[in-house]
Amino acid sequence: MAFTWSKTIYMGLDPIFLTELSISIIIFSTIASSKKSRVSKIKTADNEIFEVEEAVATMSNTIKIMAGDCSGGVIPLNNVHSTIFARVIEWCKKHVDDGEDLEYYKGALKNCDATFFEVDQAVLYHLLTTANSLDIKPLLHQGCQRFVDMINGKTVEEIRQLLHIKNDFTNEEEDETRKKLWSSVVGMNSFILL
Amino acid sequence: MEWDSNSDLSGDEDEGFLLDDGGPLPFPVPNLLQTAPCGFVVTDALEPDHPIIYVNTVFEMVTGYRAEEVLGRNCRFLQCRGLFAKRRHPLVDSTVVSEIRRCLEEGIEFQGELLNFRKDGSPLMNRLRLTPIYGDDETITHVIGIQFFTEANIDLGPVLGSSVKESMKSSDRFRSGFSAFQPIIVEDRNVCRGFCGILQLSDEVLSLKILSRLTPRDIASVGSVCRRLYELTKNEDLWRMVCQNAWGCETTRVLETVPGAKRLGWGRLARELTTLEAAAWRKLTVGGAVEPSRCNFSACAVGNRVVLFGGEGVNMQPMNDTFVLDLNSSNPEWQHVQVSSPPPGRWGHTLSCVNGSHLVVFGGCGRQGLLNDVFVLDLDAKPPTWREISGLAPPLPRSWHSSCTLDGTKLIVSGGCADSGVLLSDTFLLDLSMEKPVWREIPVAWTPPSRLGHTLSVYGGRKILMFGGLAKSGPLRFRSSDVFTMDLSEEEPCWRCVTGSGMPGAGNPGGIAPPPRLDHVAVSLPGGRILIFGGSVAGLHSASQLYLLDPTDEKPNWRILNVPGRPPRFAWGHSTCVVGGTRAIVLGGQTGEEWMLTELHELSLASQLSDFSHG
Repeated sequence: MAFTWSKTIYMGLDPIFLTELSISIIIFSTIASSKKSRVSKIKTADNEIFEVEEAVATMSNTIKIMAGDCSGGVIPLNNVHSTIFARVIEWCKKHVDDGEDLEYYKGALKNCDATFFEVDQAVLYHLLTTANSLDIKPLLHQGCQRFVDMINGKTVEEIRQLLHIKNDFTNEEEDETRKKLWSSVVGMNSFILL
Repeated sequence: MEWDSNSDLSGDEDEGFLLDDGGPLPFPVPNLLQTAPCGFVVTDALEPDHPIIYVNTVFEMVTGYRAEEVLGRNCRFLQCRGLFAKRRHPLVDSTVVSEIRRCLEEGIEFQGELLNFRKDGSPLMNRLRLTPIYGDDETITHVIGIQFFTEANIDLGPVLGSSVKESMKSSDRFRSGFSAFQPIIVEDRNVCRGFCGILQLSDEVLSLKILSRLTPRDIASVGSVCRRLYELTKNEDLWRMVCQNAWGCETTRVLETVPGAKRLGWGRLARELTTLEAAAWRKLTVGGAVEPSRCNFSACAVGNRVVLFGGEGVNMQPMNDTFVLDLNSSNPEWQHVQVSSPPPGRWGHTLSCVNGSHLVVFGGCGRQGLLNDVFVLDLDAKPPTWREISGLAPPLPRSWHSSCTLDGTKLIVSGGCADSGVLLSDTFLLDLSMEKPVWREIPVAWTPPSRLGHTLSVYGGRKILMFGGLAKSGPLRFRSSDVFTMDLSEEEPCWRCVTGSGMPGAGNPGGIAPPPRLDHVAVSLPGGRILIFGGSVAGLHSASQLYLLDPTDEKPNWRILNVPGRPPRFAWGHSTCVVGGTRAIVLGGQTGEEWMLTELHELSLASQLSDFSHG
């Protein structure tokens, strides 16, 4: 709203008062529009719209950049499904104030986030790829750590079962890998009894 | 059966082996043997899933499996029929298997009969007796299995051949081989039920974010899981990241100082430094001479160069000269280093590597008594120069204290012998990365008994381990074999027993502990383990026996390590140093008195590719 000086004089109003009024209107509308942009609107691949606090949504660097381009409109995520996105947002809401220290997140995996990753492999995979494409580093770090913890200390067969991996070696190849098995006892070539 | 009760363990130089008990089995052998030949299996009860560590030739002959095919595996493979089956044959009585599990958990003997299969699929009845073997402190260290095999009269139909392996996914094919019986599908191992999430990830995410965080042992297991993971785990850069994450930056940096031509590659290095399968004693002859001859000098390695400073000459006079031995050169020889203004002569001091290529000397006994000064040598300066560091509030002057370097920049000294013979138990830290280093005492509520001639080793980043020494006990002094640890990353570090107990004297590690000693050698292995040998040992024990301890274990246990090659008869802490993180060089050591520093003994922990270039 712009008032020209000529109009104000014509209308007989004090120009200084009108200036202050116009300035405060401009300021007010700026505040109003920034209040509006504190909520991000995100549309997932299955056309569901999520209204998420900006601070939470911008934990994703990808969304942060896209929000800059969309300037207040709806941010389209063409390769994220709503069920996975809902989980990701749930995680982000919990950690919006926790900063970027990855060591903290490693500890949190054992505490407040322990059950978040107790999901089946398909969901875990989608969580990880979504965290990767949305560039949410702490979430990706935790998800990968979950795989690390699953593998830690397991035998070859246990790893296959746990992660549903098919053994695709031929017999000869398997013999070769078995020969390269690290001896489980230190420094031992044979065991000699007295 | 190859029983030889007269054979001497330490005389066997051609094969490496490990024992937990270091002596004969604590049970009379004849009572366990049947008159007919029987299979004999030993498993390691301290490792997860009881891997086989020994089978006798009867086992090999009867079952058709060669020893190398079964070592490291759990015995349950005998319950699977044929080479390609991955789960227990349905005819194997699962109540017997449960009974075995129950007995192993309760630590009692099992006797029973179980259906097993040869490698070619033919059935065997195995009259089995499992006996747990207890180590020193009531934990089971091994399980002995005596197997009396007889033929089993069961008609099982044909064994599935190799062509069927690929199509074992189809349950129809599977059932046709065992038409008379309903297969008990406990876990269907050949079919990947369920979505495989991890292999859908890109190579980059998989390698950089998951595989790089696994321990070396886990990566080795992962490499055997499937083809794609096998290919990914062959990558040397991945192994370097794994080593760095597992062992820390400082250790990895030291390992990299070995020149490229002699480097094994990170994959092989990780393997050898974890399994110690290539550890061996060697002898090295070098040229030059350290003259005048001396004892009680200190030696430390910088990269591949061994530096020697000071010592006690004839007539007990303290020496102040510096010698360097460059093991990189094709003909290494001792060279006297001309330095301007060397530190005052001394013996009983410590020499440690700091800030990459600098050496720091502290304390010792000089011409006018005990010292507490600090001098740093820059070996790469031209010419090499000693520089005094005047730190504020230094510790009491002392000799025969111990030192180590934290983070590559901080010198830690502890204990030792002060004026008038008093033993000390304090711990001081000097940060040499600062412009003006300041001594800081580490305040603790409780210290282990004061001592001299002990060792401090760094492990797990910022933890230190103290072992042995001559310790004060009331008015007397005894050689000690106690282990204490301190975590310097804590807000208020404190000394603890290695078992984690906070009570003084409440817990030393289990297993066979090294006999008490002082002035021994402690080598820090990547991954946190400590290797102890040498020193002045109480009693008549050999000083060259190697003892290994992993303080990061839940229940740390001493283990004896036997390696091929001839060890030195003696090895002293002050004159032994570790080069490139993988070679412990022992100076002197053939006799207690003579100091012929041209004959060196080396304990190499990993294969040396340069073997063939030395004459």
